[in-house]
Formats: sequence, C-alpha cells, structure tokens
Amino acid sequence: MIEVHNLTAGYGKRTALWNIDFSIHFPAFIGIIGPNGSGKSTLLKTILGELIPFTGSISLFGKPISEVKHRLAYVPQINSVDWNFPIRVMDVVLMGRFRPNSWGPFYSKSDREKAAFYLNAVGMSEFSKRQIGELSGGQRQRVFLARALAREADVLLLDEPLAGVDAGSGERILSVLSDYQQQGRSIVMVHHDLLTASTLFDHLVLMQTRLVAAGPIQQVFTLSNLQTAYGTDVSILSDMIHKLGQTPGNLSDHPKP
Amino acid sequence: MISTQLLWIIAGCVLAAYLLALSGIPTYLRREALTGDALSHAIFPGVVLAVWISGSNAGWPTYVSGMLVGSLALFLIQTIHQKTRIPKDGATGIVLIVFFSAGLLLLGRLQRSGIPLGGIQHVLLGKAATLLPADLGILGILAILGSLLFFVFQKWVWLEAFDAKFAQHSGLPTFAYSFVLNTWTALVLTATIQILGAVLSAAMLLTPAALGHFLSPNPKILIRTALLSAIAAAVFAGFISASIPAMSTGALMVIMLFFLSFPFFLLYPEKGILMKWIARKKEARRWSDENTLKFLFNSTGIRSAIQNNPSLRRLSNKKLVHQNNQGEWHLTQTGIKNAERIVRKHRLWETFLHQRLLVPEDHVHENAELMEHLLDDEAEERLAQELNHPSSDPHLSPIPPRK
Repeated sequence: MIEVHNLTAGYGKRTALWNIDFSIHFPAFIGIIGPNGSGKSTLLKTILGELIPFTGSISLFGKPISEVKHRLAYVPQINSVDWNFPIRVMDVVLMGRFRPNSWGPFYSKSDREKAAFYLNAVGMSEFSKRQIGELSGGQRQRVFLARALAREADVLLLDEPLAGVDAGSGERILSVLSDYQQQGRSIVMVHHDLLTASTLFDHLVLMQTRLVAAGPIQQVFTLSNLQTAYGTDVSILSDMIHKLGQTPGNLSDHPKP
Repeated sequence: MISTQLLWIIAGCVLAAYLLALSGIPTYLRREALTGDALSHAIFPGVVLAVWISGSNAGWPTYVSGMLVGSLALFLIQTIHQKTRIPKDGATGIVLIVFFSAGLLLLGRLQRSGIPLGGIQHVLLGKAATLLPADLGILGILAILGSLLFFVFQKWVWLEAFDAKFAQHSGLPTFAYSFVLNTWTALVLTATIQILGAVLSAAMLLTPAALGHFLSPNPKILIRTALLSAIAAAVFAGFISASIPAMSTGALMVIMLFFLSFPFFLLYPEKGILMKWIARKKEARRWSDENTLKFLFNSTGIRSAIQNNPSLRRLSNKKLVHQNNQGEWHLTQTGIKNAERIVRKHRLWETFLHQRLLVPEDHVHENAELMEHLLDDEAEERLAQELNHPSSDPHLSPIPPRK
C-alpha cells in the first residue's frame, strides 16, 4: 500500500506540489497523469526519496521510504547518465543485481542468468556485448528498464519510459510492464499520453499541482476529472472518450496491450 | 651499467606511476578529473606543514597531514558549491589555487627557517633520487593494498561512476564510498608527491585512464592500457632522470606518457588523427576519380596533354581507362559500366529534386554533383523505385539502367 499524506514539495522556494493526499493498495499498476508542469515528476521524485518534502509524508508498505528503499527499483530518464561511459549493455543490466553485501569482484552465475533473462524480456539479447554508446534512444530506455527489472523489486517506478522511444520499443516496454505487474508486483509510472493511460493502468493519480483525483481508474478517468486537470477544452477529451466507445467506467476492462 | 641505485629509483617510479594510474581510474570514470588535480595541489601545503611541525620529512606525520589538508580542501569545494551559486568546477579551481599558494608561501618560509629539509625542496617538481628505502616500502604496501581494493570493489567503482543515484538506491553507501575514495587518492598523492611533485602527480593520476578510454571502451582493456602505459612511462622516466642531472622525474614521466600516447592518437584505426586524415584523402580521390570517369563518359577521347593527371593514372591502374595509339584516353568496358552508375545516380537525384521536391530544373545540377558521390547502392535502388524507374532526367537526358 502506498500512502501519501498531506504532501507539499518543490524546489528551493518554488512549490510544485500542494497538499497531496491519497492511498492505493498494492499490487497495483498506478499511472501518475496530468498536464505539463502539474508536478508528476516531482511526486515520483518524492516517492523515490530523492526530494525531501516541505511538509507531509509518504509511506510504502506502512513504513517510511528510507526503510523500504531496497524494495524499490526505478528507471531514470536516459539523459541522466553519460552514454560514452566505458561499459557494455550486459554490465549495465547486471548492475540491477548489485547488493551492498555482495563483496566479491564478480556477479554470481544466477545474477548473470537473471540479467540475461531480463535483457531478453526487453528484446535486447543480441546487444548484450555492445558498448552502450552504440545504442539508439529507445534501446537505451530498454536497457535501463532491464536493469530495473533485474532488481526484482516489489515496486517499479518509471518516469515517462516511452518519451522519445520508437513505436517498436514502446510496445515492447508496455508488454514487459504488464507481465511484471501480473507477477503480483506493483508499478508506479509517470505518463502523459491519456489515450494509452486509459487502457494501461488500473489505478490513476490525476494531478494539477494539487491532486484532482486518485484511486481505481473507473473512478478517476471521468470527463469532469479530466476537465479539472486539463482545462475546459473538453472537445479533445470527449472525442477521445467517445473514440474508445465506452463509458469511462468500463475502460479498465480493456485487454492489456 | 645498471646500478642498484638506478634500480631503486626505477622501482620507486614504477610503483608511484602504477599507484596513481590505478587510483586515477575511478576518479576519471566519475568525471572528477579536476578534483584529482585539486587534491594534488591541496596536499602540497599539508606536506610542507608536516615537515615544519615534525622537523623531518619521513614517516606518518606527512601522510596524516596530507590526507587531512586534502580532505579539508574537498570539504571546502563541496561547501562552496552547495552554499553559493558557484558551480563545482569553479569552486574546485578556486580552492586548488588558494591551497597551492599557501603551500608556496609556507615552503618559502620553511627554506629560511633552518629546519633540515630532507627531500622537501623537491616537493614541487619531484625528484626520484631523493627517495628513501622507507618510502619505497610504503609505496609497495600501498600498491598491493590498492590492487586488492580495486579488484574486490571493481563492481562498486563502475556502478557508482556510471549512475551514482542508481548506486545509492541499490544500497551502495555512496557518501562513504566517495569519502574513502578521496582519502585514498589523497594518501596516494602524498606518497608519490616526492617523486613526481605536486603539480605533475595529477597528470599521472588522470592521463593513463584517459589514454585507456581513448583506445577502448572495454573496461578490461581500459584498465590494462592505463596501468601498462604508466609503468612504461615510469621506467623511461626513472632511467633518464637518474642518468641526466637536473631532470624532474615527474615532468619526464608525463612527457614520456605523452610520447607513448602520441602514436595512438595519430595512428589508431578510425579514431587516430592521421588515420582520419588518410580516410579523408581517400574520399577526395574517389570523388575526383568518379568525376573523371563521368567526364570521359560524356566526351569522346581526351588528348594526351593531360597524361599526367593523377586521377587518370589511378583509373588506368584499375583498368577503367586506357590510352590508344593516338594518345587519347578512353573508357574500358568496366570503365563505361562504372561511369554509367555515377551518371545514373546524378540523374536520378536530379529527377527526385525536380519531381518530388519541386526544385526548378535549372537548379538541380549543383546538388546532384554532390549526391552522385554520396548515394550508396541501396539508396540508389530505393530512389529508382520511388520514382518508378524513370528513363530520363529533367533535362531529358537518358538515365542509364542498372546492370
């Protein structure tokens, strides 16, 4: 269960999140959605413990973040590292198997097998011996995803994993995510495409600096909520809901992609 | 002849270079090159201070003082960076030069104070000949310890340097790691400062790793290249510094390393400067040969006046052109075939520009002059498909079919 209580957070003097309050039971596939600048990434950073909130608290599994960090895995945005770094694809994925008490110089055989398994899951097996600098943007994102998956953590956190990713990579990533979720694990993902959001997640956190709504998708993904978050230009939104040919209440019953 | 004294010096140089190159790999990978430089300058006043207080140059006070002052410098850099708007490289530069200046002042006063200096007057530029057996012992112990630590913690080194945030999330104690690494680097720099000098030890800390990375992104090759090149440079430098008086060992080692790297920078396949130059030259020749072929294709027989044209000579060697009894140049059968391909690419591109991009037909030639050399076979084929295999270009000249 994730519980966010009375959370206000930001950078320096600028507040990006106001008074967020919600709780969602695990296992869940949670999408954090909202327009640009609505504090989606800030919320994710606070959940990760990277950003200390001004007020309020977050707990996971009933404990503060600092005590459950080892149960989280996250996929950073790919521009957060130097891709000329001298390392091969396989070694990046192996980093997901790192444990602080593993003192030996090498990763174990089972670690290697796990890393190879997840590299295959994201469709990057043939690249395992390549230098990371040779990969395209979508491939880099997939390698980062494989590294996070290899941690086999209870909760996987992602910040727009489909941004700047080619269609093929995107589909692959989504299918890997729904497999992961079907193993009883949870995913929290910042996402900005409403159309895919409506079929991908089972829970939504809809943001507009303040919280608009949070909970099961049937309750959150409604025209009035979306209007509150995205403004009064409803034609696009209602078109979209129309196109799906469903009332929002049935959206989550769509087959997973 | 090789004396024991010389062996002694060379051993000292090799150990120092090995230690610096090894400790420099994590520093280089974390993109903390400037921090390494700052450390080497910052420990300089620490070492001078230790001599002043303890009255001798030997033993643990030097190491403790070096590490303490080094840590203080790093703490200051971090504080300036965090508490002000000065970026980290700026803060590093400031701290570096302030500590170094303090060291210079201290050394000046010390030289007038009457305290026996030992090897301390060489602390600026380094002198391997002043090495004591005890120093060599310490270097040896550090080299063994360093190799062990590096071997055991190599996973940590790569993980932390590649993605410190992820490392922290995975439970790697990044703060402690960073502290231990910096303290270790300060210790190594203190131990090697007498041989290499404050100014130059930083170069030996970072250049080997950079050379290794230049040659290969493969971690194993990177490490081996860094260590071996440092050792090789040390052997040369120790040898020369012992035989020729008034030669700074540190400066020699850095210059040797540069000369060792130089051929690689020049000759390394694909990345070396000379190799790139040769590749460009080759490309220029290809363009000129293709133009010659095209020219011969469009005219009939060229007089012998241009016999010495290098392009014709190359084409004639490849049996693409031949000279008849009247001294006229003609295309051979293969020559005609090659020329047709170039003309085909040229005219296909003209057609594409005109039909698809709506460029007026009197403006398409210039661009096609370039593209005829750049289109590869696949692009040519797709272009032809895209245009429905046209038979003539916008100027109504025939487009030769592909055979």
